[in-house]
Amino acid sequence: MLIKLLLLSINNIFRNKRENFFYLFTLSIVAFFFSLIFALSDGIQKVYLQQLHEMPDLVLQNIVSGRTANFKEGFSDNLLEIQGISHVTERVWGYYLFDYNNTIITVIGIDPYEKQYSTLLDKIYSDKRYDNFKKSNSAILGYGLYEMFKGIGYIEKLYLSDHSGAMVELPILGYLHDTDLKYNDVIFVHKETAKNLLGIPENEFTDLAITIPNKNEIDIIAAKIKEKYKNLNIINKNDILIAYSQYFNLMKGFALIGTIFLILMIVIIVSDRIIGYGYEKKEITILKAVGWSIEQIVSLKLLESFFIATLSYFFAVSLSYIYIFFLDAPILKDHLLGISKLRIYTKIPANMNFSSLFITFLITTVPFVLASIIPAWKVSSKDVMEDKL
Amino acid sequence: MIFINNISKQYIVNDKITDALIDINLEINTGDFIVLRGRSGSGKTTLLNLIAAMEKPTSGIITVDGLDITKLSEPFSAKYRREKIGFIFQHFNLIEDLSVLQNLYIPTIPTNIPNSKFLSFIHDITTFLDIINLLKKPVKLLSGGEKQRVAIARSLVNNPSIILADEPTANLDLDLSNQFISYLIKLNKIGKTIIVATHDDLFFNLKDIKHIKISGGRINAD
Repeated sequence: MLIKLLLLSINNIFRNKRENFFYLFTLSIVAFFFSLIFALSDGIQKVYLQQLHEMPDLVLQNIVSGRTANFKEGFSDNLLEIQGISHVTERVWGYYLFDYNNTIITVIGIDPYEKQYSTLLDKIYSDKRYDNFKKSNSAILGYGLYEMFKGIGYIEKLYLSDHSGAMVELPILGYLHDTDLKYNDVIFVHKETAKNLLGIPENEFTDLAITIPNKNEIDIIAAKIKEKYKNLNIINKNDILIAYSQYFNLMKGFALIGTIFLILMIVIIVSDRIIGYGYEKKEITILKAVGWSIEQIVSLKLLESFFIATLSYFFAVSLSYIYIFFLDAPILKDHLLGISKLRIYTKIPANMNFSSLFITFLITTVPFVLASIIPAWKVSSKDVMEDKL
Repeated sequence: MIFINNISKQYIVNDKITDALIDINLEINTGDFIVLRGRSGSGKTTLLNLIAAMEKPTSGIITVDGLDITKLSEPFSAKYRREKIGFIFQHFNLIEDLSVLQNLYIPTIPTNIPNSKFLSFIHDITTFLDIINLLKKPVKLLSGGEKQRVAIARSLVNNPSIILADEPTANLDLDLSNQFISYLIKLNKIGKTIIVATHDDLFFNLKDIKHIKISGGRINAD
């Protein structure tokens, strides 16, 4: 009987093409929107979380008169006296205005043997080019910067002016992968070059990155450092996680606005479905008269609505995944990943989160199926004469 | 054999109780041809619906071949209708967008009738009713007479023993009405119990037919 019901339900869908196309179209918009929100937030979350593990356990900033100031060389030796700290990296970085097109670039000076960046760079440049970087003064660019410089003809070499206005020539050794969002606007150079570009004195550093082998001790060690050096601002991974969660709250806010819109859409579909039940009423009465039970009538309506909703769901989810992962979310991506002079080239990674897919499925199918089967059940369980009198 | 014993049916409309049938007692033998006469609103259709177990009476009992159909739960009422009852409506009540064959197929969906048996049965019925050449045609393209014959065919699909017809000739012209009546007579001759609710005079002159007059929800002595 199930096969016969299936065939009849498909036939009924095609029979009422116009109306079912309206439902299919509207439900597809609903599902597309939800799927888009979930796929984008899941994908972006993946980007951030992937990069989080590369971050130092603690970052220390020197605060003087309420402003960040550089650390003097040798300060890190004091920190190594605190038990639990295995390594302190003296970092050099800062913002550099590329005045050709007024773009803010993040310049990061690295020691090629430094753990924090070597992991990232090793992963990308396992070939000889990275060895070259170790040996010579050159630059590795984030993907956004690479694209920007390419656009203005800086393909093999960069020309940047240092803090004194003198031109510095830097061979471009390569660029980072386009999924590395964090490094979109970054240029990696030798520490000495970075100091020269940013005007940081030779014996000074921007901040300190602390490695703590026992991750359970991060908060305790942070407290110890704060107690000893009151002028230090301490950023730990947990703070960054909070910052990220704030970012995702923004996404949730976006989703909330979308949800209100979607609820409205669902209300429209459901009310249209219920109000427009007149023509189906007659068919239900016919089915009842020729020996169909309420259960069989409801099953038929369930199959019909489930088909439409599921078709809408698969159509919309496929479309949203194509939009995000193949077309790279045009228009939306730049707004969601951040506003910058520099275009964001980061590709949102494909991320099939089954709970998100399942929630989208529920949101798409359940209200529509209920809006179909409840009136069918009501009509079929009513006395046939009630309407006539 | 149908026993209708002290059947009453009330509806509540706008908080007011309306009596559709009052104390109906009736005995219908297998193979009878019954014509229920009466004006619109007299209770004829309600009586047919009760015999078809499409509604439950407010009080009283109806037994069909020993089965008390007033006590049946909904799935069993449906099963009873499927197996025992063929219903023909005034407005044909066919699904207009479906073909004749699809309309005839619908009553068989809840049953386990194999397709081959269904097709051979359909062949016989549609030959009998002279609609075999219309099987693939959408119902909406049929004439009134053709639709009524399809409605008869559909009522016969599950080979029921009782045919109920509610104002079956109301939308037919004289020739088509006579033709329809002749089909009912043929069906009656092969042993089907026929119960027709009508106020069409054409039925009143027929021989070997029991006439029952209903007015105000009561059976009147005829």
